[in-house]
Amino acid sequence: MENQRETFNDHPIYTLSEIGASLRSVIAKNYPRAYYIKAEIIKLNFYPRSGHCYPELVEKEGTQTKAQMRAIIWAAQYQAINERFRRITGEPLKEGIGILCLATVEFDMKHGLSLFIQDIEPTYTLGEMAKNKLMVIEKLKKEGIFNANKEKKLPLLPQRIAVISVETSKGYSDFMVTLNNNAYGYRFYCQLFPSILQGDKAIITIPAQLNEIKNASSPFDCVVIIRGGGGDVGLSCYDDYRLVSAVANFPLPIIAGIGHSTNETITDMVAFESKITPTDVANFFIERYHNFDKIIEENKSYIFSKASLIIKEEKNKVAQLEYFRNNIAAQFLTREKNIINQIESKYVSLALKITAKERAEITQLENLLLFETKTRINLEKSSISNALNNLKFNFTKIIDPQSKKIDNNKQLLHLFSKQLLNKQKVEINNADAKLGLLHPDNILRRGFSITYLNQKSITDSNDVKPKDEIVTKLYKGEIKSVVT
Amino acid sequence: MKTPNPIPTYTEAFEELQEIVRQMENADISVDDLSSKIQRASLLIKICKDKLTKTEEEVTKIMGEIK
Repeated sequence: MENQRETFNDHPIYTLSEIGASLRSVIAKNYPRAYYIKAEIIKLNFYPRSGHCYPELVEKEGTQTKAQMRAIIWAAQYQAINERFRRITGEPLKEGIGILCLATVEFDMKHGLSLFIQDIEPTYTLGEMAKNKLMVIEKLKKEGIFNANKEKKLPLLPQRIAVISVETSKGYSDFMVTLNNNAYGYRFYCQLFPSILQGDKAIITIPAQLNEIKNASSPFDCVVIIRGGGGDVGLSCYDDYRLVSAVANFPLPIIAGIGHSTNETITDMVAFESKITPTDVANFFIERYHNFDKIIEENKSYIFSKASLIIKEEKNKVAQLEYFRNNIAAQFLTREKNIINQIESKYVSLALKITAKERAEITQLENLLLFETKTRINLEKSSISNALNNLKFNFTKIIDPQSKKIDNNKQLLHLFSKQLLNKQKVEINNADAKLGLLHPDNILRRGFSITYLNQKSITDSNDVKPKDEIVTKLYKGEIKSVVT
Repeated sequence: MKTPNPIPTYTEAFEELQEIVRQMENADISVDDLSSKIQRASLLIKICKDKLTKTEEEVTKIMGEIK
């Protein structure tokens, strides 16, 4: 039997170790094996001296922390887990990544509740990274900057090149050697802007150096990001939104030579141009110069050969003209001269022979013509006057009987109209006499009268009311009265 | 009025050179102009070539000497 337990208000009092032991046994009983748990590492807490790692795990919902727990990876497992993780994902275990771990839940009386991680599944993280990458790409597209750097203009011959790299790196040296030792003797001006090129620090330093380049006193034609020799680890920074958006938004074209053998990073996608190795980037510039050079050479040889051709053609033309002038033209002229001379002499002798005889003939012809014309005119005159006389005679023959007929008709018409007018006159006189009898004055004269109301004659006694003022018109004068 | 730059940039030089080539292809150049065009083309080719093998500072210096 144990000692008498202390109480407080009848409640038993336990020691901390009693509660701890109880919790430990409850947890051990309810969580008997290892479980797969997904979480995000918010803090890695790796201690290189001991080799132990105490990651802080969280589950987030939006920006809110939904759950948080301590975990432990003992040094014995940490090396193997981290190595495998790095090999598969290309990244070491680090803060900010999502993991799927196999862990037991244990309660330690001194350290409390912990997850003891036995293994971490790298392929899960790989999936998470791919998902994040897609999300970043979507975001860039939504913001309309995914192609922004590609749309920048690279000069025909980019000469001033800002290089973001590490001076001691193999990639930088490859780039500079290839560029400066090109076989054609092309010259470039490069300025180094040193930066960390992998891991989380690159996310801050690369954009910072881009900013330096933007504010540099003399403007650059383009920027190259050169990395190489560091293996394929720590490249997820080139998928980070902060770095990628800085590249996409940059006002100068950026040529990426990040140097990797696996997946294309988002930086490669948004950059103006992306080459796998630093050497490729250098060759990109050399090729551009060489293409320009080739066109200039072609133009040069074309212009000079064409010019000598034009001169040769002109010379030929001149020579031809000269030949023509010297030979053909002269011959032609002599021949023409001869012909003209011949014609001239023939004409003169002929003309002399003709004159006397011809003149006499012409006068004769003239007289004949004059006589013919006169006779002809007289003939025409007499035939016209004949025709006129004929016409006159025919005319009177037709006209005379017609005019007699018209005269008769005229007299008849005159007679008829007179008779008609007299008849009308008698009728009118009769009508006038009748009308005189009907005139009101003639009626009034006989003792009748007309009664007016408001200047209108009244024919019905019902048309007047008492007090109406009426006027009675007699043959001579009027009577005004009031109706009662 | 636009006064032509006595020393064109290489881009301008390149474009002018192409224009001369075009004119020659279309036989747009009279014999009278030929010699001046050839002289101009030589200068343009030199500007373009110098850009390839000399940095800007060097080119500016050389062009200054030509002037």
